[in-house]
Amino acid sequence: MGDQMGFVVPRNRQLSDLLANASSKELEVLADIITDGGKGRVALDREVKSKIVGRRATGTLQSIPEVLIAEIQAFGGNSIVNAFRSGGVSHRELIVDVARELGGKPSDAHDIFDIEQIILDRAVSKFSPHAGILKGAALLAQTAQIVRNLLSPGGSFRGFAAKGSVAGMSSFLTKRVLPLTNPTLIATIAGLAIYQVTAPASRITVPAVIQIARIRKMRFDKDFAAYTEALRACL
Amino acid sequence: MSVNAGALLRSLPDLPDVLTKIQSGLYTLCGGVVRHAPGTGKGGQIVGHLLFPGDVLQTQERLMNLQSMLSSGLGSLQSGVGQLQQSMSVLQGLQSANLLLSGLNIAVTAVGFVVVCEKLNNISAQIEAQSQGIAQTLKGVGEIHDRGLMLDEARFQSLRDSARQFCECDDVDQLKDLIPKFHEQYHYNRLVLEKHAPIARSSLERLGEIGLLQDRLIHLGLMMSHVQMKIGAAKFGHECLLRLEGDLSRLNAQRVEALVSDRQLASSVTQEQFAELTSFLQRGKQIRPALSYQADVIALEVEHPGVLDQASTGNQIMLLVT
Repeated sequence: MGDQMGFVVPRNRQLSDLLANASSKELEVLADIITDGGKGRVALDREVKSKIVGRRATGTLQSIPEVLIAEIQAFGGNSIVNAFRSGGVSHRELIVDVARELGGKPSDAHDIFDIEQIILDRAVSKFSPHAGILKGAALLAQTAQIVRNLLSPGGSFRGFAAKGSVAGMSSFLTKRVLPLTNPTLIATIAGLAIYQVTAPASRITVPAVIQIARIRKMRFDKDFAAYTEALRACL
Repeated sequence: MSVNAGALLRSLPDLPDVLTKIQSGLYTLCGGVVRHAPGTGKGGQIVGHLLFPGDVLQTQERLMNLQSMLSSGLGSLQSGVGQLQQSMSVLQGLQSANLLLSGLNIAVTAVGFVVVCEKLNNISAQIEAQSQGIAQTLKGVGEIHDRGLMLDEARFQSLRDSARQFCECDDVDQLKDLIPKFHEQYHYNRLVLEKHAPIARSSLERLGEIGLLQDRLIHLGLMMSHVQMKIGAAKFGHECLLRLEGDLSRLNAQRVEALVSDRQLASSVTQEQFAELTSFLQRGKQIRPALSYQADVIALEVEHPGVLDQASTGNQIMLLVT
């Protein structure tokens, strides 16, 4: 990816820039995903949690984009894989994992914007199968609802994770962990055990990535609207 | 030549009453026309026509003085603020057009005609220097236009030089014979531009060549208008300018529509490209006041022969009270 700052309507803004300029409303959703609505998580450092909760309360989450990014990336695409990675995963790795988990087929030819579009489309298809193919504001509204559902205690993600993700995770683990460890370890983390370890991470990364994709899309739409307005002013 | 009875040509600074009424919002400027402001009982009726000096720098200075004088009354105005702001905006538009076209009388005076010829010379030189890009731009029009770029350029330059010669020699018959060639060249340039205008990518990747061709279209239109006046066909000179104004407006609209319809392309536009693009589009917009002003001047000249000479050789903005 080149320097996206040189473009008028950038597709692949740096995450820090994206979050530093997002609305408080959208960042609050992201903060709730990370902190489990402020309750905290085992894997979340207490100081980090209180920093996020504090900034959320004052509407200044834009000032800590790096903290939010670090936490999401630390969860990685999967907690087991993350155990073999130090310092979390890159955003691209993360979204590729999530896109695949949702049944998408991202390739090297896709940029981050494309992969996030796949994620949004697949999220609708998976969690709101009756909504049909959505675009623009309708897609943003539907995916906002999906994120809310995934965050709720009885949300559809639990069902999705339990029913659909074990096979996917097994395949994913085989591809990603096998080269890193020995076959005996792989054999021991089969079946329900895999789900028990991986599902919590997915419960964070899937909605977080959907939310970031929504934020990027909103920012792109805003940049495009400014571009359009500047052009129309020349008439 | 003298101005017809019934019309009164005065230097604007010598008409304090008119200036005061513009300043108070009772009169408004619409292009080069002073009108009674809406809601004053005679709303929209013409008070008179402004005529600007022939010299670009004098015009600029007078416009700036007038704008500065009007703006001094803005703070104390109780009503008519909107009208005054519109008048100031018109003056701002005329200033931009004056600078971009090197004068507001460029199509309608002999001095302006020389400027137009020189600009076309410069454009030809740039086109020759960028012949490869231009050839690709023309090729996009299709195989029907596969005649050589050099032949096209030679014909164009021949037309320009002939027109200049016949104008200076007052050879009206020869000038009349050139009219069909003027039309052909004008429409050829216009068609090339119209072919590319709906292609958003052209407005970015071929902007340099398209800018040159549009400059040529503008100056060709100005030249043709002058020639039409010279042969006594003022009505067609007037039409030339209005058509040019309409063509520029339509070309810009097509370009913008194509650009705002292509989100994929938008994401590849760099800040530098965008600055060049908007500058080009703005230029097409900003010269339009000069074209409509000159079209009005041609109509005035038909009605009041000699008024243009009187106005353009002076150094003040004049008001032709009708």
